[in-house]
Amino acid sequence: MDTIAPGGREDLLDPVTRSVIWNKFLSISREMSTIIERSSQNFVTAELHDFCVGLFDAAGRSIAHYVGLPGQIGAGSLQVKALIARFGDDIAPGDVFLMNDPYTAFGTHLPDITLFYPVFFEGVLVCYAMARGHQEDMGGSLPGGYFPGAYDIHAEGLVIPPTRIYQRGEETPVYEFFLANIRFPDGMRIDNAAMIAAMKVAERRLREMLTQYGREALGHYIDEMIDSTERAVRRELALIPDGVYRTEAATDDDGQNFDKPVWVRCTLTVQGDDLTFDFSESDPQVSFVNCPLSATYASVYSAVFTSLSAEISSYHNEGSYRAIRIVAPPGLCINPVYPATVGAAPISLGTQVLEAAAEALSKAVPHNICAAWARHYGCGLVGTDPRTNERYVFLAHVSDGGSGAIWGYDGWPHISPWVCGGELVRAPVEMLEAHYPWHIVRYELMTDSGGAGTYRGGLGINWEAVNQGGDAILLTGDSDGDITRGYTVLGGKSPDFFNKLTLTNPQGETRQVRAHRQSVAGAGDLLIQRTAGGCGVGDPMQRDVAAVLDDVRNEYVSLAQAKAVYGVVIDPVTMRIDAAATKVCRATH
Amino acid sequence: MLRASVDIGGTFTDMVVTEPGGSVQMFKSPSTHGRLSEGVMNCFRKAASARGSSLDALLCQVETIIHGTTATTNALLTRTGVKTGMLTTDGFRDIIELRRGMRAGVSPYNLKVKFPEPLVPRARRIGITERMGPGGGVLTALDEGEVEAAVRRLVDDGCEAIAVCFLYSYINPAHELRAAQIARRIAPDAFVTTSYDTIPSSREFERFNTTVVGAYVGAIFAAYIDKLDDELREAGFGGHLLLIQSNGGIQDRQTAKNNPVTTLLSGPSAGPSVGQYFGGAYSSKIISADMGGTSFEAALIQDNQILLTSNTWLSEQRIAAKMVDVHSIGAGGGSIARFDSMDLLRVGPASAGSRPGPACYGNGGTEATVTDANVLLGYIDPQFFLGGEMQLDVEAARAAMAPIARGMSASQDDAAHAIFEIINESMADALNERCTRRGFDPREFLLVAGGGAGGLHVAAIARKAGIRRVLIPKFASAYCAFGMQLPDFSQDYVRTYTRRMHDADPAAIDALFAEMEREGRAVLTRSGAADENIRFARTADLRYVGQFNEVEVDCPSGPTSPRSLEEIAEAFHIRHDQTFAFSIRKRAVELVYLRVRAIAPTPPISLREIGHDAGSPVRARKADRACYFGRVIGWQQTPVYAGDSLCAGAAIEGPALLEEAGATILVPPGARAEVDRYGNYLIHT
Repeated sequence: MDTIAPGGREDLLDPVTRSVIWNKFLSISREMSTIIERSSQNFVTAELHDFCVGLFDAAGRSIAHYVGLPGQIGAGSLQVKALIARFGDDIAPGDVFLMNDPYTAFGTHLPDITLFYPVFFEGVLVCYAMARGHQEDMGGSLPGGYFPGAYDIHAEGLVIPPTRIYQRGEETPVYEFFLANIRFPDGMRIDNAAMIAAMKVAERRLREMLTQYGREALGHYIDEMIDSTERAVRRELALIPDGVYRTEAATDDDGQNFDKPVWVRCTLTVQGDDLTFDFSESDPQVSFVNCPLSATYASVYSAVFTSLSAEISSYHNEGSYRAIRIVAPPGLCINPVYPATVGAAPISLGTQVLEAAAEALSKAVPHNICAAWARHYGCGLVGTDPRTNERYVFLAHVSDGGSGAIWGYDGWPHISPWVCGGELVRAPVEMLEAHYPWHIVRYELMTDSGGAGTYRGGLGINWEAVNQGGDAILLTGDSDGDITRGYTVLGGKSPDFFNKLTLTNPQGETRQVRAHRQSVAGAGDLLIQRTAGGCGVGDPMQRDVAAVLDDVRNEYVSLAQAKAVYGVVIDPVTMRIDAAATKVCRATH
Repeated sequence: MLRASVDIGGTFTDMVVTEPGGSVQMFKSPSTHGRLSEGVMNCFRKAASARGSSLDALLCQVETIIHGTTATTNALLTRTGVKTGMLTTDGFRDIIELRRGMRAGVSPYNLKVKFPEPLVPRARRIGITERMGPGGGVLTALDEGEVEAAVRRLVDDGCEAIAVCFLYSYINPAHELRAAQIARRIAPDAFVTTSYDTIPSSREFERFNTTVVGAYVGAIFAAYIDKLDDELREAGFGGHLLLIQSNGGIQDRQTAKNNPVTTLLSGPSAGPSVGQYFGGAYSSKIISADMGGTSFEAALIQDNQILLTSNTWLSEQRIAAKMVDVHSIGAGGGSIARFDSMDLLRVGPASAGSRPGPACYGNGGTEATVTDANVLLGYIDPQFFLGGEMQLDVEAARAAMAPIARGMSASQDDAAHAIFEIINESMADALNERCTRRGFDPREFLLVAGGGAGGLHVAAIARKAGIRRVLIPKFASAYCAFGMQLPDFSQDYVRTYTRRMHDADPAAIDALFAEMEREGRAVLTRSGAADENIRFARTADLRYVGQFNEVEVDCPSGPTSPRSLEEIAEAFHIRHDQTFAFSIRKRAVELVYLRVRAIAPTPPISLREIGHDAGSPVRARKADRACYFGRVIGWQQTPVYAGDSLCAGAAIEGPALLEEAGATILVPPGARAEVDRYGNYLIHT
């Protein structure tokens, strides 16, 4: 019908236009995401959805997050500001910028590349569209990026500050230079084309909005969106009891000093509706697992956002950041300085930052906080496929465990790690076997792998496969949790066992390969990954008896664990609850 | 001979009766819950009396009843399917529970969400020793003893349906088919289905889950359709009862029972046929939209093809079978307006449904709905709702609107108009999303719309989406029932043939096409189609080597040749560019699937032309009514026209209201409506 006339400040009071504009930003993000997902060639992007998109205003403020990995998305706002700082006025319509440098461009680890595309209207730069994705390869001494023990960041791959790869719609020579230094340039071309196409669609849609509402009015609405998100976030933060809460979380090691955990330490100060997360007590920077500042930010944001009510979960933007202060001095593992390696980020130490921040919140508002999710477990395999004689990089995250429980809800199986927020998608067996010379023997839930509790953690995975190619490099850089694990809430339990990867050769000899290592999976080797699930919330003795029976019937929980941990006695023949014995068992526990 | 199509909705049962080369008539009767056929018979009674014949005489003339049903969809949504068991490759029994690790549409910042329980719980999923390799070769033979033991266990456990789901069955179904054979022998009363028969394409989670959904709802569908058939036969019906499939085509009852996944969305999937039918004369790019009480459903038609998708999620279940790409959002007359935690006014997806319904229904609803807003805006005549069958309570609408007005610090009029605007925005966004997902620009489309609530909103929606022309068919209020008259009888087939284009063997491709066409011919002739009427549409799914998703393109009929393969590749590049905004001609292309659709055309219906009289609006004009069009235009006296009195050639400038039996059409200020020779309304927005 009639369009509400754009123009003056009184428009800000128009709730209809505000709703409409807000929705439009969210739907543009969804569209971008669809284009990337549907047309990428990169396994990690197309099948695993390891990417995100975003929209920013000319000042680099995040307007709307909607789609993508939390561990990647929080970085966008810092990155666009780095781009603006570097290029200033020298940005033209049709330019495309690429970057991944954690030190000059707020990258995470090098395989996560970010593209930005400026959107102009009436000759003025109004917005930036962003697309960000994990690439198959970024050069460096080994394919795939997830290898521990690199000498410095240059050995991990090509380091790219904000760089113009298209100038006014024309490819710049530096793009060829970049493609010549990575391993799968043809694939990268398709993936970048998909991301650029997505950003151009965003441009078209943004221009439609600008035409309808006018640049100035739209700017007012963006201000209002950011302000109202801040108000809504602060309203909820104000309910958290004031206080100082201290926590710590560790990763297994840094891949060089074996078995020496690296600690992230957090002091949360809640004062009114302001939160300060101070990580100053964390360990100094180490090797490989260092968490660049942008990933530290993203992880803290994830911890806070997941503690808020579900209703505002789609509305986060720059305003959400304003009430959250993060102290992360340079030179520590949560804000490393050049030339520290960062290959495991944002998984390792991003997870620990998230856990430390969330656990700190759990001390204040335990019923709103999820228990720790399973630590990420996914090995990289690099070799040659005898069927095609082509190199392959197999990064499939197929053995990730479950999410932690949250009061009122059991965890979900197979959706970790928390830094990815359940956005990662696993590859089909039928795709993996067609693409890689591995015969998958088993891909199932692991009984008794969920942390016990009134609400149980989501289960972990039992994954087994045989190497049908030649020797393959085995990289366990994006795994963690062989000797460390996350926190529980309100008396819930952690899973009984740790993550474990073993290789059994055709002679029947078995050896364990720990997280953050580089090894070799020989021809014919059987690779087994067994993962712990998420942690539980609340006393397991309080878990609903019928729910425990259901768990046993479905073999999520064994009869033995039901009795020992949940105090529920079940007759193994009739599979019925022995009410009297259960009562005794729970009373005497 | 008559063809009757029936759409049984929550509130009304709609029927359209056609006579080849003759009349098209529409009837409505309240739905009867419990004995659904009563609502259908009531429509037939109305039809008989309209034709001046007895019910028995009419029923003798009805050769086919075409039915679209939400029975299967509802069983899935309400989790009331049958107890189902699953036989699956040992080592992979959790595939449908692992869900590829997806949270599917849930915000990563929202963790207070219950895990969507699989339709078959783990305890009833049994691993069987067997294994095919990625090329379809047998790696481990099927252990038939295990199959027997597993089926006995499932039967003892009370399972009424068994889904057989093995890896790589889409390339080599031998193990699945054998296991199903054993299962049928041991459990003759159970519904046994295989993933190969359900959807023979790669990706085990998608294929297995689709199969399990089919198994879960299969018995429900069979019971529903057999009961309806029995009741109709008892009442004197002696013809064929045919079904609308989820891909929009028509199939017979037995084929639907064999593969019940094809009955999901049967009902809504008939709507786009209306757009295809009426819109074709105006445009090659059409959006079909149906707005009822609780949902708004939109689909695209391009070059006379209703677009399909294999990417559906329904009730947290992944369904990978090809279905009409109907995008449904919770927007309808019953959609409720509320403020969310960001103080944004939201309309829908929550709905007051038909009970209590909008506040103005006077059944105890207290929250403001879209219908309440439309009443307060003057768009709906409270005395003439559903042709006067129902009186609306304006005071109740006013009371419900008060909190919305307070929350906005606005007048009641502005609050009502805000609801109208916001619901229209949601629907316009849905249209935009439909189009842009496919790489289309909505401004190039014609919008064909119907449904009980569609007429009031569609012109406004079109304006918001930049669409310049809207067509509202005369039969808009029975949109889907009308749509069920139109589709062809069809069956779809698919074979996997993964080859790089330059390695593809034309003879092998032709052999697969021929095999599918033989099957299709057999099924269609069995269902009564004349052999000489059957035709085939061949398509292939292609992708760039290395990609994970395919794009479907048409294949020329006739023998495949290196030259025709080149044409297919060229068509792929073009379609890829249209869909994803880029193509890479240097990159190698590979074939993945070959498909055939076997088609037996439905005889065309002929609409009666209405008389021509450009002056008819003068006679059709009833009393004016005051309507509110927002702050800029305000209240305006708006002429109301009796739709039945308008003739072809009539042109009406907005603002105006056109009252039809089942719906009212709003021509907004500045828009113009024209009546075509069939009584359809073309609105220039």
